[in-house]
Amino acid sequence: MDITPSAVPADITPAYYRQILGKLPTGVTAITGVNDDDEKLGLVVGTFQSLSLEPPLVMFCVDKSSSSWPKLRKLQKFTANILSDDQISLCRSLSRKGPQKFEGLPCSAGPLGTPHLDGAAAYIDCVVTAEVLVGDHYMVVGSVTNMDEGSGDALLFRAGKFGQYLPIEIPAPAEATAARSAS
Amino acid sequence: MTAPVLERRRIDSDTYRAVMRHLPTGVAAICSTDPVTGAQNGMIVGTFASLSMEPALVTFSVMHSSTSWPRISEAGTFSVSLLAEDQQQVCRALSAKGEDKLSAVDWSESGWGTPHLHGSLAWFDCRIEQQFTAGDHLVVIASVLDMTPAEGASAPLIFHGGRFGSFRETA
Repeated sequence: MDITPSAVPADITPAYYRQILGKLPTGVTAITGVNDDDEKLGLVVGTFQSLSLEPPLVMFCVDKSSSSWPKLRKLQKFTANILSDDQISLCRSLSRKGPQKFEGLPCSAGPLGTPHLDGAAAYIDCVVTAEVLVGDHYMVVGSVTNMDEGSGDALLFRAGKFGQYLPIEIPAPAEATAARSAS
Repeated sequence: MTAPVLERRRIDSDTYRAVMRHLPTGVAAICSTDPVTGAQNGMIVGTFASLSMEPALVTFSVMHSSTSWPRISEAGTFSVSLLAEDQQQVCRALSAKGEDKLSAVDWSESGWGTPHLHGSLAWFDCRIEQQFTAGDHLVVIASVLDMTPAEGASAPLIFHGGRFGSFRETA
C-alpha cells in the first residue's frame, strides 16, 4: 500500500519541518535483529509508539533511505529496545551508517533470537504485521510476542539534544502542607 | 529450513501498560471547530509523531472507542497544539469527558479556522489524508497545512511512567 496525498498546499521545507517537529520530545528506541549469517542489525528511531492493547501492537516510522531497514525487514521480526539515559554512546554507535555498528555492544538473544541490548529500559519483541509507505517514510506495525521491563530510566531526545525526564513537583495543597508541619 | 517454534506468550493489558510506561511521550491537543455548529472539540494524544518531510505529514493514533475523534474529524481540518510543561491544566481539561471542553482554556482561531491553544510550544494545522484501523486504535495520517512555533523557548510537557514531567538536557 502506498499512501501519498495528491496535493499538499503548504511549502514546508524539510529544514522547517525538522525545526518545528524538533520541539516534540521523543523516546529513543533501537530496532534490532539478527540475520542468518549471525550479523546483528540495528537502527535508531524516535517514532516508536504504542498502538493497540488488544491485540498488542506497536509501531514506528523509518526513513525510506535507511540502509539498515531493508536488511531488518527481510527477517520480519525485531526487538524494540527502549534506550535508557546511560545509553547515549550506544545510540550514537547504532545511528552511524555502515557495517559493524554492533561491534562491542553487549547484548543477549531474546525469545525471537533478536538482540536485547544490555541496559535498555524495556524490550518489546515483535513480528512485523504491516508496513505502509507514507510519504518519505515506512510505517511499520509490529505484533508484540513478548515484552519485558529492563533497567534504568528512559533516554529522551529533543531539538537535537539528548536529555532525561524531569519530574514536575506538584505543589501540595495548603491543607496537606499544614497537616504535615503540624505532625 | 524449519521455522523456529515461537513461544507466543499472551500479553495481557497490564503487562503491555507496565512495559510501555517506560516510553516517554510528548503531549498534544488535537482540536477543531465544527463546520456546522461552530462548536469546538478537542482531545489529548500521547502518540503525535513526525512522519514524512516531503510531503509534510504527521501521524497519531486514537482509541477506536473515542467519542471525541469522530467529532473532531468531522471538520476535516484540525489543529495540533504541542503542550508546554505549564499546561497540565489544559491537558486535564481536554482529557475530561463532556461537551465544550475548550471553554475552560484560552485559545484563538487560526487562519485555517482551527483553535490554537494559548501557551503551547507550537501549532500545526492539518488536513486528514488517511485513517486506518490497527487493533483497537485508529491511525490518522494528516498533511501539514502550516506549522508555527511559539515565540521564546519553553520546556515541553512529557508524560512518562504515568506522571507528568518535563525535559532536562543531558549535561
